[in-house]
Amino acid sequence: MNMHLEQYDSIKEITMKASVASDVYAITRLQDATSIRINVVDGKVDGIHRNSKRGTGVQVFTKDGLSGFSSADRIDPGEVERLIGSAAELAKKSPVAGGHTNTEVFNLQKHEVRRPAQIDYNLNKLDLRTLENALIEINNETRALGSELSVSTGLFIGYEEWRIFRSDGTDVHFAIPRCIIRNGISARTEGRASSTMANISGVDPRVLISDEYRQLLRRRSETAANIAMNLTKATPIKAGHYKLVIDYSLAMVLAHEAFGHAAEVDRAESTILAKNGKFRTGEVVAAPIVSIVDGPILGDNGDQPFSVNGVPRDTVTIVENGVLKDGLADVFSAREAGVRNTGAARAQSYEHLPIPRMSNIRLTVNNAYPINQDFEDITPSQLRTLLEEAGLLKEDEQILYLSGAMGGQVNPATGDFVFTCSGVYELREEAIPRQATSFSGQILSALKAISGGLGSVNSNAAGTCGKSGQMVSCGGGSNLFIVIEKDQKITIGGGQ
Amino acid sequence: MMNRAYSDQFCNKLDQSLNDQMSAKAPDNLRIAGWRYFVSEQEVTSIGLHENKVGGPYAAPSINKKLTGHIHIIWHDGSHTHASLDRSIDTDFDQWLVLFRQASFVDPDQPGILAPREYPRVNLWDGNIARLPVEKHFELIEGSTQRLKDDGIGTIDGGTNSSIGWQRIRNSAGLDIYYPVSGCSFGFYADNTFGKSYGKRRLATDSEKNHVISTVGKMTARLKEPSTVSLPSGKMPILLMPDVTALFLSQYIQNNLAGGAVVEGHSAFTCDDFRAKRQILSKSLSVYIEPLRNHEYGSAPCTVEGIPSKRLAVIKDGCLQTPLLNRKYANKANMEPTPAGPLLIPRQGKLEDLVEGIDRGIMVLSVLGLHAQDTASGSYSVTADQALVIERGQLKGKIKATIAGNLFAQLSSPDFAFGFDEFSDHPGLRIMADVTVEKH
Repeated sequence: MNMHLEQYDSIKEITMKASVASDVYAITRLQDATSIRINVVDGKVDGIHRNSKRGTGVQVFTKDGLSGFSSADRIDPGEVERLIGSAAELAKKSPVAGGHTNTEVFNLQKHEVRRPAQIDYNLNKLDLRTLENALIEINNETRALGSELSVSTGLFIGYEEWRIFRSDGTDVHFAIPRCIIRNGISARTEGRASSTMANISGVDPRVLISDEYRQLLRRRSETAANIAMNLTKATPIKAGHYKLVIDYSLAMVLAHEAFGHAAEVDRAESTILAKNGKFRTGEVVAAPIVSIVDGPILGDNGDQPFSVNGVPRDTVTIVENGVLKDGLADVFSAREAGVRNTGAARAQSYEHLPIPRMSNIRLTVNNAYPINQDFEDITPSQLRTLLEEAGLLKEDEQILYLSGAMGGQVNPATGDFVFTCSGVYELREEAIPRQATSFSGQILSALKAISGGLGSVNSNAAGTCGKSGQMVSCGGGSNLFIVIEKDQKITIGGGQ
Repeated sequence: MMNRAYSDQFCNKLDQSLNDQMSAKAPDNLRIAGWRYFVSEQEVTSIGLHENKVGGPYAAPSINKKLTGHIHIIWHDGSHTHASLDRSIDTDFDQWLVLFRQASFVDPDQPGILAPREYPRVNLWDGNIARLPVEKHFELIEGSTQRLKDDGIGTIDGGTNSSIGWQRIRNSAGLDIYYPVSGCSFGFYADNTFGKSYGKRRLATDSEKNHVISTVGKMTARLKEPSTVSLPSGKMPILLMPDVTALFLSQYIQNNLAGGAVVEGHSAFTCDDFRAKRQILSKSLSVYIEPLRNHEYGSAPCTVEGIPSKRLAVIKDGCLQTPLLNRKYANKANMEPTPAGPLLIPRQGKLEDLVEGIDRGIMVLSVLGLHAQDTASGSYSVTADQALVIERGQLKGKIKATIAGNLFAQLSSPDFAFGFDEFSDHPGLRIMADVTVEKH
């Protein structure tokens, strides 16, 4: 497939020459991104919105390591020369005494790579009418799950290209296609309203509307609709500490919010996973059965094969059998934090400065109890039996099942995290729905309290992550279910 | 660029291209019946402070220039396209037009193009910002850092930026509104504990700068002192400080007033609730759209569709008045479209009086996880990771707690009260909440 930024080979030479002229090292980032969103409400197309973003960002470093950045909303060889000059001028204005210096960029290895997207469609030529009709059918099917339901069905199709040139002759060019169908489901009964969601993601919207994927979305939507309808009648759970079983989408949020952000070493002076600015490699941070891995997966929502500094992105084992092994680092933070450069730098767009970020993070447990059913086929009522069969729950033991991730937040410096699930079930002989609530606590306590898992690893949970004002797509997962023992530093809810 | 002449040149050329497509000579499938667009061009200068380091790879001094916008096209066959705009439409209009057509759809609820009306004036420009050299940004960062270090702060993050530019709204019915805009913002976050920021369309006064820096220093110091009082968990008054109140109002009031959410059934409120002017909050509480305050973000002479700005109550004396409606959702709801702008509570009462009035409770300065709460239910359960115990009106050191409740019920209760400080747009809110204190 032809790539949109193919025609800008000359910018490599310009980057090299202009950086010499300005006496700086330059990283030139070109971005060309297009997306289409289609939204269907109550069986009708409510909106189609087309978005495009195209421009150039240039980050430079003086020989002393002072940095400057300049961006413009155009891709033009002449503009690159101007941007390098402008960024160099800013860098040199940094106060010599107080301006932070970092010369790590001079140690980077040169790369020349081209990775086109593995897709056979052109976003600009897609037949949107076929997609609209499929979304209307999906919306109607989902609304039919309950008379009290309002359903909004959205399709996002995105195609993004980055091309990175550096003063050392690096030319890294890659494309990332993404698409996701999301059913937002709201139930309203007797004046009480509640909302949940279900989604599927991939790279080709024509595949997502195929029978196989629609069936998968339908099963997920059934689960979400049941939760939404139950929630309007559910009673609250008393706040406190409980033994928990969480599904893989929540385990992804646990790995992401409660651990992944703390493993990003650009904040090595502050993160709970570092001491005196150095990553705490070798320390026990989780139960011995727990491992956490982050890395790009082709076709995943969080895929990014190279950093926007032009460095290949590694798959990183952050925790291995409970021991902290590696951090998520870019060229600027790795050495200072005492870890290797794993190519973790991402940026929301050409106009942002890159920072270390996750891609697809998954939490796995050793010797998980095997299950011969798909996740979507396991009802909350069956879960208690499975846990008892697996030896992870005693006959009379109390346990809560937390289902469906609604997002979360962490303070990596203090280790405090909180996230919200869309449904809570108290697993007795029957699964009793409880009002959705938060799951909060301390990073290290949560990981040390993990005692087992059920099922194989599912890493297709999709989300969007915010950090330092920048949003990027991300993914992840875990074994289908993860069990967390009752712990005084993990709290469910806040009501009395 | 960045001036009226460039704006005229860019917009006149775009208008000409769009109007050419309205002629009978245009091919049928690319023939336009009407259009409107909003365009904004700005140049932003910024510098950051990352873990005490001024500039550097994550916070480098930066200049970003861009033109962004949004266009709505009504095609000859009655279908509609909504799309973003960027500068390249200036040179590649024919290519853009085909892509716009690809994304067109039938939308019977979308009204036509609005004829121009009378528009109010609002000043969003400060010429001093245009003359601000980048060195002034460094000075602010360095001066503030020094003051915070003198206050005993160890790790400081933050940044400052200024912007200049213009915004323009035009349509095929003759609407043409141009206004210059500027912006200035800065903020500091100390010891990964407490942060505060300033943001307006004018330079900050010395008093405003001092308020941000001294508040960060003072509150961070208080949050480092462990509580001297043993506070049991239970129901008690909590005081959401103004920045936290803003987050709660955005999550539960603004999101539930959004026209799309109301009309489509994803809000806590229905169209009938608004028609019936249902009382949902305490009679002491009113909320207004405030789009006409000079030098404030969110102010504008009109919406991007051309609805003139005015102050408008969305909740009055606790009763629902109107959802936030663009013209399409106004049509669907059979109501009048509303102006757009920040939602504010009229100033009344003093924040300091609220603190003094609490016998035993907590002051909440930061929460984690609010954005992930279920908006429609009004319920929340979040971690107050930075909070102070209040005993007999005095601050008695830091605690951490989970706070929970239902904001709609809390704002309907007689226990609820609010009060303002001199600098914030939002009040502090005193509500009764369930508090689970974390034990050490």
